[in-house]
Amino acid sequence: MKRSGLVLILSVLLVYIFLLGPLVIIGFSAFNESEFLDFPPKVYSFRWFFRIFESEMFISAFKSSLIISMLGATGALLVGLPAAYSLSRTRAKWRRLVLSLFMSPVIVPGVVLGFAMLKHVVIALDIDVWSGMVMGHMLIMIPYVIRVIVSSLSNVPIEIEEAAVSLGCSNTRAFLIVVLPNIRSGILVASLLAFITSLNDVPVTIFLTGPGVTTLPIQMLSYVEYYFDPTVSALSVLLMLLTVTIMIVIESTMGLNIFTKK
Amino acid sequence: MNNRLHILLVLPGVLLVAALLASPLFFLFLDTIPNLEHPFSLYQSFLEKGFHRKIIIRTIRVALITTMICVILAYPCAFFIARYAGRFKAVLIVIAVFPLLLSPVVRSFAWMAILGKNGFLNDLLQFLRIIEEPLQMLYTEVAVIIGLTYLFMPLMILPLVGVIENIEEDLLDSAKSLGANDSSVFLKIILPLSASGLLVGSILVFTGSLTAYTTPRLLGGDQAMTLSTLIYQNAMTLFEWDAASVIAIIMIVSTILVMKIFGSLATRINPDV
Amino acid sequence: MAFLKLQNLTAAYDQEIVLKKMNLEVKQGELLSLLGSSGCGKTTTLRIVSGFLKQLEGSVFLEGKEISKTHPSERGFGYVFQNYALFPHLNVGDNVSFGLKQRKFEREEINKKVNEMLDMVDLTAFAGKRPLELSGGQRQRVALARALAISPRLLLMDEPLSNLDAALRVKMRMEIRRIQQEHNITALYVTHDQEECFSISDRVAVMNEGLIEQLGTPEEIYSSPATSFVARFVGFENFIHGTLENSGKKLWFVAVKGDVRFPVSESSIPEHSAVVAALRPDGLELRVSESLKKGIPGKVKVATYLGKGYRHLVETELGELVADTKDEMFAAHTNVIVIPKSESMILLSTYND
Repeated sequence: MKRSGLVLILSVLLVYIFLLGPLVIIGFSAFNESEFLDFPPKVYSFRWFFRIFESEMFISAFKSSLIISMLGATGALLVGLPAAYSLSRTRAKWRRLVLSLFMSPVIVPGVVLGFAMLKHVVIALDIDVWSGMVMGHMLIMIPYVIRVIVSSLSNVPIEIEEAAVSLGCSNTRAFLIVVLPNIRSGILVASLLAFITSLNDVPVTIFLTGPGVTTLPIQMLSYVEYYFDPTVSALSVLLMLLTVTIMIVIESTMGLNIFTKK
Repeated sequence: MNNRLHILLVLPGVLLVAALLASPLFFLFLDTIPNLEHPFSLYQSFLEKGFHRKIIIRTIRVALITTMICVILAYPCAFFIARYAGRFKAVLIVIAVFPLLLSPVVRSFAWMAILGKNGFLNDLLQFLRIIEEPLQMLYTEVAVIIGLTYLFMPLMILPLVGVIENIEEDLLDSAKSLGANDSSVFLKIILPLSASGLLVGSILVFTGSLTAYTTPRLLGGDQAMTLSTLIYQNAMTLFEWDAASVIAIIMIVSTILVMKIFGSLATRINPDV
Repeated sequence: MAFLKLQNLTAAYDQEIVLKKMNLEVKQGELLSLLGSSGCGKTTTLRIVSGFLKQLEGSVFLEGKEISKTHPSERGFGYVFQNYALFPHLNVGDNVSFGLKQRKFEREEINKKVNEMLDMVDLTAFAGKRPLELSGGQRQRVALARALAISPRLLLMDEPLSNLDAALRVKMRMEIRRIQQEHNITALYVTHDQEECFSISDRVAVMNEGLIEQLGTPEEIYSSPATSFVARFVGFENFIHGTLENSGKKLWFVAVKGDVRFPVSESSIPEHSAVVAALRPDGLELRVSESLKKGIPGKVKVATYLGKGYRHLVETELGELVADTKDEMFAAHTNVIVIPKSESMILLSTYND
């Protein structure tokens, strides 16, 4: 077992260096004085971070991203919460079909989603760019909302609602005072996951952008194709910090093993 | 009574997805059928171009190679995490999850920084005097493969960890008590039981690689295009919407086909997956 | 007038009929159990009474009034769930006071009642704890206290003890019975455990496939099961087919095979009809075949030790019989004679397998 043990440990090391290495490299380049990505940096500075905050285009792109993701997340929650409740309680025959429908934005390739929406929703129905973008983001966020909240509701069996009703609550009241408090963390995690999915999206967004409506990743994408400097590294570092924060929140509420469970 | 309420609760969501996904896709499909006498004429004219065929083949090739690399690297890794990591298991899983939550722009940019003419790898190779002049590594198929492998490795590791974790110790003990040695236990019990996890991971990596956009665009550019970058080029640069529609349908049909076929294979091997 | 009356209840669950024209009357102050194995319709009955399931046909009357149209939140019934269904985000005190808060009682009254309830189930010290921190038995008691806090007209209990370990089950069932009798609460109790059911019930309805096979006191059901299903439930394991014959002014049970016949005192079953003689394992005696006593010849398949005696599986012409002895054990492969004790024999007119 010793030799195979060595192989295992080596492969783990290899894979994890592979996973983290590139992020470390651009992390360092973000603090590099020079604009070439030499490693390790000779002089350290924050100039690229200042560059971001001075840059009108990144700031407005970030603002747009925030607005789109928040509006989209709100919409996804409004639509997804009742749907998730229904899906977790019903035994009807349509349950599986509807669940697959809600999961389909994950299965359909992003570029196909984006293009189809552009051609047959935004253009065909003459919808303004902002609305189209928000709708597109709502669409890609719904699967996460539903998955997480259905999972959360599985810990609140229907007997608990029935107990509340037997003690004198109406059905709605029972939901509000007995179910909702117990899925609070689920709603939070669902929102965070949806938010970050939307914030990071490129394939769908890239078909739905228009004048004045762009998101941070799209802005970064076009920047990187023209200018090759560590500004994007600095942005990446900021985004990594944001991601870590969100992960901490998820871990302390629902736990990160929602990623390994099916 | 109750059923009516449940239907009412899912209705808004169903309508939303139907309006934004189902019906656009349906109309997109209709777009690719110009008339009934020559229903596949658009597909034919698309596939007649060698350039297009090359891209289709490249996309498949890239996805296959990426999947294979991920399988080979992720399996021992997941095996270790699931069975030997002990206290470090949670940490290792967190590290694997982290890149998944990062924008693909960030993840692909990192490899631009590594593979570029002035990038980390070229600097290192020149520093070590292995090469004199910087190598052209970006905008090649290899760069795309590396980028996609980087993108999807966690998606192969995580389901595998889940499946291997679920192999009960009791099963292995009973095999040992019946006389199986360690390699037998691995080959005859662990491998088949984790095969379904491998299949699930492979489906995710393969279909993901087939349809990824950002990574092929940043790391492959115009020299190493895939179907995704091709659809963007046709739709937004060339305004060839017929071609774009054809590509879209090809992409979605192949994605669904792969998922159905290998998905049912996975469930056949291990119904719990 | 009966306190609770179920009339011609027919119900379905997931497209399958689980109750077939069920009729039942429950008296005020009695604890009536619905006894049966899973799928027999007992929980369905409870859910219809509580209002959580709508029946296809039939009515439910409480003190003469139809309550089927009343919303479950207005029926004022206490419901104890199998998994307790305690509110995880509320502590014990808030769980118990939940129903009272819905009825907009004054704060002082609520506190008084909660203390009374917690005292009754011996959990006063646990008022501030969350359900997660409690053991199974403690959660069960909270569920009971919560249901009783609203002074329910009817207490409905769905297998409340089945998730507890054996010793706790015995202890808790006596507590439940004590509380029920002390406060004269009418209760409908669902269980699959025959011993539990018999020890606490005033009357028992044995259910099978949506029908009540027998309704009576535990004593009645135990000593005179009406059907072979009920007989099996109360411990009869031997069923011998035969007919009733009249011969020499006496009634005889004649087995279908072999030369086996026994005098029978009297029976409401008509002559010459097919009957089944049912016997408990202790209703059969065993002798070695050489003893030449009259009985059913057979061979012992396996003998096991029960503590209070020995149990034998005996292969005979009339099928496999189960016979218990107190002191003597007959080893496997021994040839024996099985002698039914006629005073322990119950005659049943049909045998559903």
